[in-house]
Amino acid sequence: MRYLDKERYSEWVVRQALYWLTPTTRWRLDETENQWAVALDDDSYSAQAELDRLLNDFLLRERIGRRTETTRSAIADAVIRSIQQRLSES
Amino acid sequence: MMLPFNLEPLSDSRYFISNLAGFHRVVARETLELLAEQGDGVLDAGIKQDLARGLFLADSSAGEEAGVAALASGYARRLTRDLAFRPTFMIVPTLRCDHTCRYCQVSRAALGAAHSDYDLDARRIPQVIDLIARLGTAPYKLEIQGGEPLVRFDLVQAIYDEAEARLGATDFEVVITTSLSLLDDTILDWARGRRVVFSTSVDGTEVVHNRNRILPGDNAYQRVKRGIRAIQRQLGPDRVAAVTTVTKDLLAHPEALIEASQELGLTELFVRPVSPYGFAQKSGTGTYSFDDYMAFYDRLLSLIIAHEAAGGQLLSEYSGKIHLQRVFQPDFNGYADLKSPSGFLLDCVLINYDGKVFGSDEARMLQRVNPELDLSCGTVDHFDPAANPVYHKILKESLNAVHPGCEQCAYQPFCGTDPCQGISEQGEPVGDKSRSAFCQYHKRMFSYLIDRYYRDPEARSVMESWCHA
Amino acid sequence: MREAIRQDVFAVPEANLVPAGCWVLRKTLPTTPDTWLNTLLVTGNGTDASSSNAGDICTIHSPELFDSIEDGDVGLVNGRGSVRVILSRRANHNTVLVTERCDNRCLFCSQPPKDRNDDELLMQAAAAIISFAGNDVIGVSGGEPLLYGDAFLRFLEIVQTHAPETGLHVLSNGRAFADRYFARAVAERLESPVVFGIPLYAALAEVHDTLVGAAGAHADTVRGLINAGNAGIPIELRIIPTQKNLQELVPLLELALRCFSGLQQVSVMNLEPTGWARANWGQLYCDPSLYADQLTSMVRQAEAAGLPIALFNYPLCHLPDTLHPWAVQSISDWKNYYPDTCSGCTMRPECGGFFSSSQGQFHQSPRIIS
Repeated sequence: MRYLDKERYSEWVVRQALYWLTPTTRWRLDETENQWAVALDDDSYSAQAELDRLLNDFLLRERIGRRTETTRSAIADAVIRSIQQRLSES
Repeated sequence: MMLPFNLEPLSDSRYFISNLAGFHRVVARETLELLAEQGDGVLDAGIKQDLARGLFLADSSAGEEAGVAALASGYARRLTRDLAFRPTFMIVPTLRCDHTCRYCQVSRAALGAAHSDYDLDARRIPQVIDLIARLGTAPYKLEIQGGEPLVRFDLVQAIYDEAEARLGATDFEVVITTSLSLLDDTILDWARGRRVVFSTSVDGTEVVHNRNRILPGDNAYQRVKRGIRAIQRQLGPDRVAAVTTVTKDLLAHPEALIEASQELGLTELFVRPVSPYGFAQKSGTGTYSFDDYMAFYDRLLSLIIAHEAAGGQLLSEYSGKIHLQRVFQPDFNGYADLKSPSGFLLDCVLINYDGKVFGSDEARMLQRVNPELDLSCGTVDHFDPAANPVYHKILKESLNAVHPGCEQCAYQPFCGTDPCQGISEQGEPVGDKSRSAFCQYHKRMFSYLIDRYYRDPEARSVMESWCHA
Repeated sequence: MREAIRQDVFAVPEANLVPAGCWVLRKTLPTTPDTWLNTLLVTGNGTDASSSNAGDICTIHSPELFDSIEDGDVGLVNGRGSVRVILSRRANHNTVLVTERCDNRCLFCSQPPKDRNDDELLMQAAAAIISFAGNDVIGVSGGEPLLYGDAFLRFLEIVQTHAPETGLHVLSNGRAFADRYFARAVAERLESPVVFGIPLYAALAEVHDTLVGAAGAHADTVRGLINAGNAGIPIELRIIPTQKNLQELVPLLELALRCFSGLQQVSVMNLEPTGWARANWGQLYCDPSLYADQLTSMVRQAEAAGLPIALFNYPLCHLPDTLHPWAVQSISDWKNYYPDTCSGCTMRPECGGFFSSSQGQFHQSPRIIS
């Protein structure tokens, strides 16, 4: 069983990492008030390492994503506008 | 100021990053850590400029506004470009085939089966071409599939004649997908002055090829070799291409493929893993992991590089080439699998021997395995994708940017979706990407090729020649 | 100044009696007067030299000018004894100047801007184009034509209504299109073939802004190109390689291919030694052999994407052979010349030659093509 502090690992990071862990091993996610509890069917070193790698990558994605959140939605708005215009021109 | 991008790890703590407009860079993990921790202010000036040129950073609020506009415009361009309806029209004149290949049990019927059950009714050909004329625009791309289409060469001829009359003599091109076992002088003479090219299969050297491609009472490899040679000699080297399905037998012997291409005078390889359709997994021949496949591909690429370095002719590999072109070549969307929205129906209209129409080759195979479903979009005389709710669902969910698992992926702008594969493997078009063969294969190809491109100058120059040939 | 292929300015002493402005040049007295411009009858040797300044028609005698024009060409009289033929049926390319004001200060500006009000030029240009009534493309340049805003929309309407056969090529920095409503308003008024030539010099804002001498110009032009393209305005993207943007050339093309719509062509233009480019020549001009690789890569990328690309103002001997197919003979005949050394060159018929302004320190010698 792996315990991950909720303060450090958001639900998004944990769920994304587990999503991609599926081909490596089956898993189960529980939680306490302050921690995520992850149980892996295959508790080998390599499965643990893969989980760590995924957690790390999604932490990085989350931190970078947080810095660009508002721009992401600005882009979505602009895309919709531009496609609408393009369709009305053609 | 940072603009949004996605990231995927490569080797040696480097990351592939890409944005919605399709720009990419390879950066060190520490650069990303700095960006995440402190923003772009602390980056080295050169790195900062390089990232700004690809719309990963903006240097001012005006620049940010322009960057947002440019990313949005680039993204919209990609979507509208991939959305274009430019189908290849596939026609299946017969499902009967003279081969009994190990991994193909879906798209064939026995040679002796009743014509009326498995062959296209010749009287339907004018309707077939009429549908093509109504749906497509010149230059029309026609692909004649099987079964083994040359079993009914008379139908192939009739299709060509009708196309010539109805579509315009120079406004179409026909690819005949065939094992070449039935190729003879009559067919060669016929093809000589016509806009016809042949696409065939070569699975390795004689031993490997014949183990997969079984031609009862004959030698499939010798047949295909004779056929390729005859086309090259009589029609020209550009009139024949070969596809290789990588089976377990070939997996340990990539050199066999180089040997075979030398023996056959082919300079373009097109290797693919065994497809998840066609019962291949169940029959046991195709069971290997994608790690095994990528190890094979890695060795194959090294052999190609070594072959060229030793003074041999440059061999290109088409699967690698299209993945690279998707990344490096803005506007490239010439491959139905690597498109989002998917190429389903937009890139393919398949007219089956029984007059049913499908949105992809995979859809008709899926139909064979799941007779209780209706995966067709009507018939030759009544083409109507809107009538089948499955088509609505597939097209609605064919945009990878909103698929869970694709949303965060840095290969997303270059990749695509294969809804039929999703249905085949997981019973629905989107599926769990972590278990999707499509995702595993394409993600590995992208990361393998890019990693090697940026790490190995020799490999890079070979890959560049593939793309610019 | 070296001798150009076609002369466009003529000293005609008696022209100082003719009011300054645009005139339609006639070699014979027209039966119906021109509605858009006053008529200037030009007489030559063998024609009746008697002046009749009756009504709106003035007459000048200049055999040299007479022999250089066609009936109905348009001339600009400066009031100080010279006539400049601005729209010529014999020219390979005609351009009208609609303003000298500009919101950029390009380091290589060929037509250095002035800040005085010259609003009269716009309608004068419209009148000249309509009177000329040609069916080729006429260049509209400045200054920055789009600074006129709504007046430019009226210019488009008038010209297209009264000279429907004439195409326009508008040279603009595109900043005004950052306002997408303006871009749409222009797009709605395009009937005859109109192309906007819009220069962008870098993917990086700081490099472009330095070259055009205006902070914020890059952001405006990038947004302008996007808006104009999305609105359906046909665009020729212009790129001038200099010492300051060599690193930018390939990324700039990628930006264009990925993000801009409506591009008809990318034009890469060798620096022209005129205007401010002469003062800044030393810090700007770059020998094409130093960026031949970038040009090759750009040509490859553009071709792969199906976007036409052309190399302008390059003598063939300054480019590698492999790029010759993309080089075009582009220098307007009134400023084009071939040095003596070119006379024996077999490539000369296909070669664009040199700018006649490229004398002395600005001249880059012809080279031997191996």
